[in-house]
Amino acid sequence: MSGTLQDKLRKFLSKKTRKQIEKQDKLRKLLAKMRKKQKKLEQELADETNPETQAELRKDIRILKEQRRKGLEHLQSLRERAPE
Amino acid sequence: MARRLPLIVLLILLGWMFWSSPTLSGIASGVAVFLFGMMALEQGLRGLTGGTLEALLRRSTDRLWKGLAFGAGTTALTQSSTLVSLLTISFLSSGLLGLKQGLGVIFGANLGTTTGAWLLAGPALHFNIGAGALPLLTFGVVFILTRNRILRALGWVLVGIGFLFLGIQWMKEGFETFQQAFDLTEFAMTGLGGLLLYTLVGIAATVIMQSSHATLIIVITALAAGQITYDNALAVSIGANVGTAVSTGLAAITTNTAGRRLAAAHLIFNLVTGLIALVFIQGFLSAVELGSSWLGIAEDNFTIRLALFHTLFNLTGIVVMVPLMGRLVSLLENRMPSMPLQLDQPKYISNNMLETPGAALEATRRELLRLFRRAFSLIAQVLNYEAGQLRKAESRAQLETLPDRIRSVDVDALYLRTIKPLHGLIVDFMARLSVEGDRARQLVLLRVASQDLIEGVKDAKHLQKNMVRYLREPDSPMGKEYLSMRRHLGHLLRQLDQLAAEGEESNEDMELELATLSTRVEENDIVDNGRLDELIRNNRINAEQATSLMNDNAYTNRIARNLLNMARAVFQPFAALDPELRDAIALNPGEVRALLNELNTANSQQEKTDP
Repeated sequence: MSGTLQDKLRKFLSKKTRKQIEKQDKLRKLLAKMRKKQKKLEQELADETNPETQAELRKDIRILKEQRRKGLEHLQSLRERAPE
Repeated sequence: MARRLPLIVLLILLGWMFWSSPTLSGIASGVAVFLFGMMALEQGLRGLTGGTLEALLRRSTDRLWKGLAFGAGTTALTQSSTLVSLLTISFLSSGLLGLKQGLGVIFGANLGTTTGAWLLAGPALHFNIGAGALPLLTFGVVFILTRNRILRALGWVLVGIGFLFLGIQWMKEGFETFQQAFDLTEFAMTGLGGLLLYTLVGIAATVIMQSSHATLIIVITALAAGQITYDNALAVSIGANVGTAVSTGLAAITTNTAGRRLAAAHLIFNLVTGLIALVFIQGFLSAVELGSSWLGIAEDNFTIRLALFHTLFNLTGIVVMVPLMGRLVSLLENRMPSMPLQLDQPKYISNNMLETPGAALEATRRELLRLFRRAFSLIAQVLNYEAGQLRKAESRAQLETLPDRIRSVDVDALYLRTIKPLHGLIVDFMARLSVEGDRARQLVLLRVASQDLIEGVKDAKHLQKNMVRYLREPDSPMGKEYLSMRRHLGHLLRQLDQLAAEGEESNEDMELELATLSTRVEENDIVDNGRLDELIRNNRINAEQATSLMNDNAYTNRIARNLLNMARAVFQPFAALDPELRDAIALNPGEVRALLNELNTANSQQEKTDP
């Protein structure tokens, strides 16, 4: 068995690695949902005529963007932390 | 007095036995030691496998065959159908298991229990197991005296097996000595009368001893000693099967409707199985004959043949009853409908669940969800929303609509009537739950969540006074602020109610929605976002009004934060909670403020540039 294959197998069998992968998957799913929600809000903003609602939607979008940015940073750090 | 009569008769009978015959007292002591062994074994197995069994049961509910295999496998392994039945009743009562899945487990447990007859009729009778009892008891007691929980549980298992061995040995010796003095086969009865009478004896013995294993060991040792005829022993084994369901039924009296339905199904199953065995006994005897010749069982080995008979008729019961399971479930649901609960009655938690902590914690979580719905209704009334109307409100305009008449509700009376009794029961239940490790953390989370919910309700009471006063003048500057607070809290309540209903559907959706709601709370804090200062600077409110607004803003925020904290702990099962995922997207108050400032600056710059 080649060294790489052994490494891959070890990674697969390691509980820690599996947990890490699970966490990354969950966060990735969450970020995808946030992206979808952001698009939906942007569409609502484009259709909205009431200035007050427009301001609220802008606020929601900005906050969602910030949350996504934080989430992406966390995902990056999880990837970096992943055992080689 | 009349209720205690059977016990008094039993005690007198035992006393007479001990006085008149050392042999009979040997048999009676053997039975008592055997029963004590069963209890010790059950206690040990509960400590040793409790968590594992619960985790396995959770995974064995999606397919009928899995439920059957779980029931049969765990009962064969633990030799305790009572343990499996009680675990299943707890899971069913807590809503973790449906009736059909529960039936699968119970049917399987019935098959699993037949392995006991094989063990008792085989190795237990043919070896001097009494010799092994003393070392087991000694090692067991040493383990029980240690501090380690697992070793202690193992100790109880060893002590249990030790006493079982000792009990069997005493019974065996007792019947062998008894044989020299009396011949009980003189009382043997043949034909239908004998079949029915000895079936009744089996039922009575199992109900009294609360163990079909105990009845079987008596009949097997008596059969081995030639003190009971083979035909009568078969009838006693049929009775033991029915008797065990009667015992489960008695245990289920204190559970909720779901638990009682399962116990009734168990009784029906065992009655039908017993009836089939009685009606087709000749057919079963032929089948035993055939099976014995295939398996090479000697013609005079009646104890093993009895075990084979016991397995065959239980297996037949499963084959007959599984296709009828759907109908049985409908019948039980129709005949035993869920009774409308009183306000102070719990729906999920019950005392007999305290022995199964996993199910008990899940039941507590579900009970807290019920409590949340009551708190939702109370806070909605404080805000002058109809609960149903709030659940349906989709737009901002619907959340802003005021009723024709602004009312004040008696929060204390409502709290005492709808919330406090149930909350008290939940707190009492949690206090009596004994858990360790991860489960202890879950219990703390639930306890804090229940407190958060109550504090939310109490803050709503304080908020009501000014809320009602200013909602009556919605066009004034203060009225507009209270209208805005009402809308924000209304929106939060509605979203939480929806999340509570969706519950376990998606972990990510729940986290995202809770994070959004949490940010909104920060956003809407009129002290932090500068709105209060603006109102004061522009002389739209006076100093007294400003302090009222500040206090009520604090109440509103506290209600929102408490409800959100409660939702995080209660809306999802503990296993689905992921604090890291939550923290990954959470914005702290400082970050929200910075964002709002950035947005305000952008808005004012746009206003300046706009013509």
